[in-house]
Amino acid sequence: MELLRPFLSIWRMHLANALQYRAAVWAQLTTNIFWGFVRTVMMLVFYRYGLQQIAGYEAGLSLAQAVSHVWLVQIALHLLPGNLIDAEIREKIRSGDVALELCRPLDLYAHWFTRALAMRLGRFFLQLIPVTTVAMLLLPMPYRLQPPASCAGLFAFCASLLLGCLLSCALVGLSYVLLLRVSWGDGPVIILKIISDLLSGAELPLQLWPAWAQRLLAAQPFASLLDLPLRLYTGTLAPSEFWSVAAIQLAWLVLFMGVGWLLMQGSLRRLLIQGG
Amino acid sequence: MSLIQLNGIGKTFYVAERPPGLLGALQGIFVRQRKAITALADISFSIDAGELVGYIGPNGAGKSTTVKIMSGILVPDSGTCIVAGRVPWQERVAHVAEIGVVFGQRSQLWWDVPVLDSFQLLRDIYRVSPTDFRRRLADLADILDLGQLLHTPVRQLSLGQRMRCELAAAMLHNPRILFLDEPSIGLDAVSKLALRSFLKALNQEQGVTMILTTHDMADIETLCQRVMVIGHGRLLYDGKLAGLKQQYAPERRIRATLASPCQLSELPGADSITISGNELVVDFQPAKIAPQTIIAALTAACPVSDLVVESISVDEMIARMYRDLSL
Repeated sequence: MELLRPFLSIWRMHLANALQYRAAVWAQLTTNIFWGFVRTVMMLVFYRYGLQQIAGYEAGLSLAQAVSHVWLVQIALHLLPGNLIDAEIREKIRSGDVALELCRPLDLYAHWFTRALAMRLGRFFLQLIPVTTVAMLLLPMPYRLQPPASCAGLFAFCASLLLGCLLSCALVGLSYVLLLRVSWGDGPVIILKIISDLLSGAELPLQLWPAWAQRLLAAQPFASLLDLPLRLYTGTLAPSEFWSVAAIQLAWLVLFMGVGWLLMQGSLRRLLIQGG
Repeated sequence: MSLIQLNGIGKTFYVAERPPGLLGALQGIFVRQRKAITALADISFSIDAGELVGYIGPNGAGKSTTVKIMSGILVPDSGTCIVAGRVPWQERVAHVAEIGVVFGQRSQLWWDVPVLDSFQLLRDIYRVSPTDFRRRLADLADILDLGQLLHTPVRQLSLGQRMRCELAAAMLHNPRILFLDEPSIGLDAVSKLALRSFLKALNQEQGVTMILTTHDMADIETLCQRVMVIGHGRLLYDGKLAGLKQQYAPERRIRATLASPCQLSELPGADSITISGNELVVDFQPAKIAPQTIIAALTAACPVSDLVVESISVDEMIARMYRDLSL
């Protein structure tokens, strides 16, 4: 416990910070619900007018499941890598204040990972209840979020979503390493963000992508962020599949954390901090 | 065994350069020119426990780079550095737990939250026990007069108030060594005085070893027995401030107020004489001529209503030293 004390404290601080700005919370909430609704409508249009023999029907993703997917994305939005870099750390790297972060008796990777996790969970819990209430209880059919396929599915979904969130933080850690190489600019991080948005299933359920790509799509790291956990909720994956999903997620998690940590050690040896 | 030992430390930065303008930018896509900047050429010194050392030099001389190497933030290209028995950058985490840092131009407090929240976070990061924390915070709050500030968010503090909080933040974990990089920058006179008396007390009563970089010569004059001067990445002087004065500012200055206008172009033994309005300034070297002789000659030649003898200000001395060494 003593070992974790600094990290728990950082965690508490950022959680409290996330709750501090009421106006921002309301703005996020309304935007979130609005976008969820727009996407639901898009999904309805796809399913109504799309060719019946392709996409969702063949993949075994019903309209109700697809709509649930959309709402679950809105609920879990803040667990995703998002913009990857948090503005404060970007500023610290730009201005050289990262020097002070290095004066703390903490591993920098662990420090920033903890921070990323705290901010994600903070925002997530803030949005969880209101968005779920609106999506599950207030909206009429067919715009409504369906209950989980089974009780076991719900548990599997929660555990898997947590792993996905840890993987998000590992991606964030990796982008900090990219950002520490100041001469590379923002480019690599922006590319990483676009890829992760697309391939995590946040824009479109991966099951609606072409059938030939399905195996590949499920195995690639970004599916572990969101799409695979969501399948456990909607029931396109049985709860018994949890362990194989978790194995894929863990493998990516270990890989990204390992690479991120190692690269960061290298970056720190080459670090330049000029001025003041 | 000295607490801090640097031997032949060198650090070179590489900066990408391109010709200015659009064409230059185009050219830069294909050909990159890197310019080497030697921040530190060959720095060696040792500091004993309990010393308070002033580290001065012009902008870009390498002061901050040295401090960052000693703090474990930067890795030097050559040389060895041992601080409290450790190589800072090799055992960074263990090392920084024992030092405190204050960077005048950066803040270690969290912007949006009350100061006390930042302190509590630092308490947990440095694993300070709650009882130790309470005692130290009470002490620091008392000396630095933090009182009400503790419950104010950092963004609402003035610079002077913030610097007091920064000092407390750096000392919460009771470090043996404190690195201060331009702590007095931008502070008003009152805050500077508070800063100096705090550092002095900390050094004398608790024996905290300090290295202070500053451009404010009054900081150096009131605080440091020992100064190190750095320029172009090399150590130019290391010793007592008095010795530096003897070497670079041996002369004294007589500042006299004239009762009535007076023409005086020469005095035996004086280096220079300047008159502006009713103020007359005479520079001389006590080694060449005794002060009473020259004062007698001056008062005989001109009607003087008031007179002081002073040594050259440290500011001027340093400027002169930079000029002499063509820095």
